[in-house]
Amino acid sequence: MSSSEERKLILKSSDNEEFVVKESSAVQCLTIKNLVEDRCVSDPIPLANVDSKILALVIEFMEKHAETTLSNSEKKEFDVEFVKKPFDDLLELILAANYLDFRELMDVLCNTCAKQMENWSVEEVREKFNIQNDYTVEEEKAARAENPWAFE
Amino acid sequence: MLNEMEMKRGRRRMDFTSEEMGCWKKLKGTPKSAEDSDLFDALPDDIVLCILCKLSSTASCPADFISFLITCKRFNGLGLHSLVLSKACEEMISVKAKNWSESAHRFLKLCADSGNAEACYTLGMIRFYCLQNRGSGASLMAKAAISSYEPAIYSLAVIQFNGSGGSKNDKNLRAGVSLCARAAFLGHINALRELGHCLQDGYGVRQNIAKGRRFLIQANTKELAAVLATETPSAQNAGSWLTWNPLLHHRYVSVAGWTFLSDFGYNVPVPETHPANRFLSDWFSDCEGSPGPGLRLCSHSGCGRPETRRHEFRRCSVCGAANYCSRACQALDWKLRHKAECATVERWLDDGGEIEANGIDINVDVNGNAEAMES
Repeated sequence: MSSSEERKLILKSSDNEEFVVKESSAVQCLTIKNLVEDRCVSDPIPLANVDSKILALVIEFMEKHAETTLSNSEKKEFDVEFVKKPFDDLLELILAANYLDFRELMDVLCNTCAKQMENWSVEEVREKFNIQNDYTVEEEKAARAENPWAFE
Repeated sequence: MLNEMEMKRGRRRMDFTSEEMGCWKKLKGTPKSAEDSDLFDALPDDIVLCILCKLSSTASCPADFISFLITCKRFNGLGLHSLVLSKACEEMISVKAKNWSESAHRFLKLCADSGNAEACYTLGMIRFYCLQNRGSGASLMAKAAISSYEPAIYSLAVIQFNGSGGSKNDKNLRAGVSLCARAAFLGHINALRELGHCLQDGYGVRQNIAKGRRFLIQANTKELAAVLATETPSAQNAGSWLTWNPLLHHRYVSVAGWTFLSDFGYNVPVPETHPANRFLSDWFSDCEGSPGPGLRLCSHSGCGRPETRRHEFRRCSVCGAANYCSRACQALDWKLRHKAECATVERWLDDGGEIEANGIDINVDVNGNAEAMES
């Protein structure tokens, strides 16, 4: 093993694609950090809950944020561009960030989702989340009548 | 109220039972659209809670958040979770006085129960002043005050100074001063102003004129700094309002909302009022309720507090027409509006300095305040 700045890890996605990352970037994910610190690392590290497309995006984010040469505003600019993705991708990224325990990515993604969700109507929310409306007609009427003060 | 059944249903999704795991594995092979439709189901509750927490803390109006509760039962249950409500921001719980209803009351109560300090304070103010439920209102404000929410601490100070909700003998000046000091220490500008006046007059605390004056100036400075720190929308005046113009000292420039600190030659926009104060002003002005027979409102429009017994508030001794719940409100209203209307203002500005009127000394200090107040 070479010196610690250059130590690399191999991450394997659920569809068996392998990604090489620097250890210093990867330890932003507490799940991976715990594995490394407990010396449970067997190359490659299998991540069964993350597919390759999402893992590639997570690695892109993680490497950008690990760079010490970038200022905070540059990182924020990157974040703004990074989150311009379809909503479903954002949700999948959130699931991955949760699994990997990557707090920064979670915060950025949750903030973005919340900002987008603010302006949606009830129907749009159902469409974007692909929610099956489990209210009956009467129940929905009652739910709408529950808080009329908010809508006037 | 939180539906236990819905919470249980939500929780069950988190426990991956063997059938559910089997279901998921089966779906992995199916086309993307079917996977998408289960994305929501696949999201565990704690992630949905995370997103909802962020939503509640950044919502710009109640409707943004409440519309979620109608989408499905799971969102309804999770949206009303105490963790989400405790993070609700000021805008999300701002009820308009004309929309006040049982359901609004219930929602605010839910937020207050979850520990949201703003909700506790707002509901406390509404119950104390509008619904006349003194005990419950004060205890809710105390709950917010314990979490170091400065507007709540300041409001409790005003109640102590005036003996609101009780008789004249219930006034506790020393308690008022110590509450003001606590709120001022936490950064509340009106509390600092109030404290400055108390020190100058020896009201509830040993008199220390120099210290009081320092606090008053500090309060003005903080206000200016706060305005400079935020970006005001009417930025076209931004360049011009910082220039010192000594002529303004002697003439009242009636540009609406920009007259703050006009004594110093600066035109500064009026600070935003708290939603609770806006609620109180709207409540009593829309004739939703009147404070009671012979009871007056604080003349400072940004305050909205009513008297709880006759002659509780003190009035401007120059004209007798304006009543205030506190010196801070008096000082603010003077700069904002009252200076132009106060009856004898032309006479004593021309004389310049101290004169006697009605047998009471009126000092015009550096803030341009008429200092004497009748109790």
